Amino acid sequence: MESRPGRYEFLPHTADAKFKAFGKSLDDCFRNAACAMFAIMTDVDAVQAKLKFPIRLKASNRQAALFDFLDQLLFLLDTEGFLLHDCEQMRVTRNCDGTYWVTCEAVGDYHKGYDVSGNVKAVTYNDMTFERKDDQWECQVVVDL
Amino acid sequence: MDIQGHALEKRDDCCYTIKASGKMNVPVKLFTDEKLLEAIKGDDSIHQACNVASLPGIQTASIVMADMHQGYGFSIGGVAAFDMKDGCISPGGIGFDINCGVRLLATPLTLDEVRPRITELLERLFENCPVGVGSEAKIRVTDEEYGALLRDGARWAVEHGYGNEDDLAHCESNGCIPGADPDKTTKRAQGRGRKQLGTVGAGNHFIEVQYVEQVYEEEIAKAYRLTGTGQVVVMIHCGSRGFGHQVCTDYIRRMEEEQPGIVAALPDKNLIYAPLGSRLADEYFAGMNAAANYAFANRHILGHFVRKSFEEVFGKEVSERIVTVYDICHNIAKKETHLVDGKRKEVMLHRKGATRAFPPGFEELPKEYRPFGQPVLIPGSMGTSSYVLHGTETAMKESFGSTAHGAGRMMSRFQANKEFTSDGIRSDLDKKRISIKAASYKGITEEAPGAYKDVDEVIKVCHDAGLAKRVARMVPIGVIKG
Repeated sequence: MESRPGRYEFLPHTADAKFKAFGKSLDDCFRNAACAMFAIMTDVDAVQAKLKFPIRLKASNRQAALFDFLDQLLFLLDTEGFLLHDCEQMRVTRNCDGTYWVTCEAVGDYHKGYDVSGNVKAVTYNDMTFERKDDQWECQVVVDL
Repeated sequence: MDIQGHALEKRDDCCYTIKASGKMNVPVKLFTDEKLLEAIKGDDSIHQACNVASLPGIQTASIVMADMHQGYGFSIGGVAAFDMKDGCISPGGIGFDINCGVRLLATPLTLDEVRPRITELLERLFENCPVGVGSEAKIRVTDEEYGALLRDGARWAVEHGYGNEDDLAHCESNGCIPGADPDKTTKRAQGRGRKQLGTVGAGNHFIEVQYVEQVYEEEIAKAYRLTGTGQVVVMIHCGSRGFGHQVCTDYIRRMEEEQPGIVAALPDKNLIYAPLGSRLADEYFAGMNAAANYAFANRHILGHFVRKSFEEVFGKEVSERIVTVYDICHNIAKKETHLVDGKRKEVMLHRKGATRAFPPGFEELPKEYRPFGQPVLIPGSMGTSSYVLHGTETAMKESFGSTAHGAGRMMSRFQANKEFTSDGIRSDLDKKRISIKAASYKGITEEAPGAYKDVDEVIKVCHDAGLAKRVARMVPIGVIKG
C-alpha cells in the first residue's frame, strides 16, 4: 500500500483502505483510482501486461460511474484471477443527460506468481468525493477489506 | 464524557448511552468501557451509531458492542432492530461479507499430540483449504447444484458428502436460512462466487489450530464438547466470498437507483435501505439469505477439508471423531421475535459485526446445549486468545440477544504497515510458539495483533455486562491465512 505522489495517495482509515486519486482529466483520475485499488493488494508496476479485458459501462452519475468501474475490476479479479497493471485508452465521458460512459482496456496478468495480500472485497460510497482543484480532478474512495 | 460532540452518559462500568436528539428516533446504547472507548475516540463509529438511530422504524436503541469501530454507514459491532411494518432493511447494516462467521471444531487430540506435527498439519490444511486472493476451489458445481446450494446452505454440503447431520444440528439456524432465492441474485454475483466454494479468502479470515487453555464453566464446556484444558480445536473464520460481496454491492446500487428520494434524505449514502414490505426489501432479503447459505455451505465444506487434513496426518480414527462445536454468523439480518416495550414482536434484526447470544431454553439448539444457551464464538486477533461463551437472558433484554464478534480494529492497515514488519510479527509469533503459513507474508503486517483492540478486554465487557458468559479460552498453535 504505497502512495504514488501525483497519482494516488493512501489515507488512514480504521478498518478499510481509503485513498485519493488525482488526474489532469477525469480519465486520468479514474485510471489512477483503479491502480490505487490494486496497489492495496500488490505491486501494480510489477504486474505484467499479458491479459486485456475491455470495460464498457454506463452509469447514472459520476460517483456511480467510478463505483461501477472499480466494481467491474473486482469482478475480473474474482472471476478471472485478473491483477491490474494499467488502464489503456481510458475514457470517461459525460453525456448530455448527465449520465456517464466509462470505457478502457484493463491490462494486467493472471494472479499466480505475484505476491498478493489484503483482498479488496468491495467498493463503497463511504466518504466518496470528487473535487476539481486548479485544473486537476481529485476523487476519494474507501474500499472494504 | 464527550466524544466527537456526542455526550455519553455512563450507566454502569460497561454501558454508556447517548440520548436521542435531532433526527435520532431512539437513543444509542454502547456496551464498552473507558479503555475501549479510548481506542475509538478518533474514528467515526459513534457518529455512525447515531446515524443508525435516525433510520425509520428502529426499535428501542441503536446498539454498539465493545469491539466497535468505524464501518461504512453502520459501524462495525452494531445491532439494530427494525419494525416489520415501518422499518427497513439496509445492506450496509449487514455488510459486504454476508454471513461472515465462525465455526469451531473439537478434536479428540491434545496439545502434546499435535504440536510436534503442527508444520505437517498446516501444510495439509494449506493444501486442502485454499487461502489468499484469487485462490480457487477444488469443487466445481453445475448450475443446478449451485442453485440448490444457495437455497439449502450447509444441508446441500451434507447431501454432497461434506460433513454430516450432526454438524448441521450444531450450526446457527441449522446451517440454512429459509426463503433464500438464488433468482434474486445477479448472474454477476453468482459468477463471482462460483470458483470460490471451499476457500477461505484473505484479509482477517483464517483457519486456526488452537488448544483449550482455560475452562471457566466445566459443566457447560463438557456439554459444548470441550473436554478440558489441552484439547485441540480448530477455528474457521470466513464468509460468503465474492458472492456475498457482489449481492451487497448490487443491492446498494439498485436501492440507490430505484429510490432517489430515500438517498437524498440520508446523512450517508451507505445507509441506503429499502422499506420493509417493499418489493425491493423482499428481493434483497431473499438474495441476502442465498449469500448467507453460501457462507454456511462454505464453512461446512471447509470443515470437511479440515477433517481430511487431520486424517492425512493423524489417521481416520482421529478425523472421524472431530465434531462441530458450533457455527455462528456475525454479519446478517434475520427475522426474530424480541421483547419491545414489554411486548413480543417480530423485528428485522441487523447484526453487523455482532454475534447472536440466545439464552438457555432456546429451542433451535441441540438438546445437550439447550440448558446452557447458545454457544458464542469470538475469535481474537492473530496470535491472541479466542473464546467460547454462552448466551444469556440479559442479552435478550439488553441487546436483542447479541454480543460482540471479535477484537475489533483500532489501527488502520495503512498505519499497521508503517508500524510493523512481517519479520517482526513472525518472530513474535515464533516466540509464542505459533506457526503460520500464509499465501502472502506481506499481508500479515496489516493483521498485526497491535492493530486490534485487546480481545480479553472486549470479552471482559461482554461477560461483565452479562451479554454472554465465558466458558473457555483458546490459544493458537498454528494458523493458515491469505
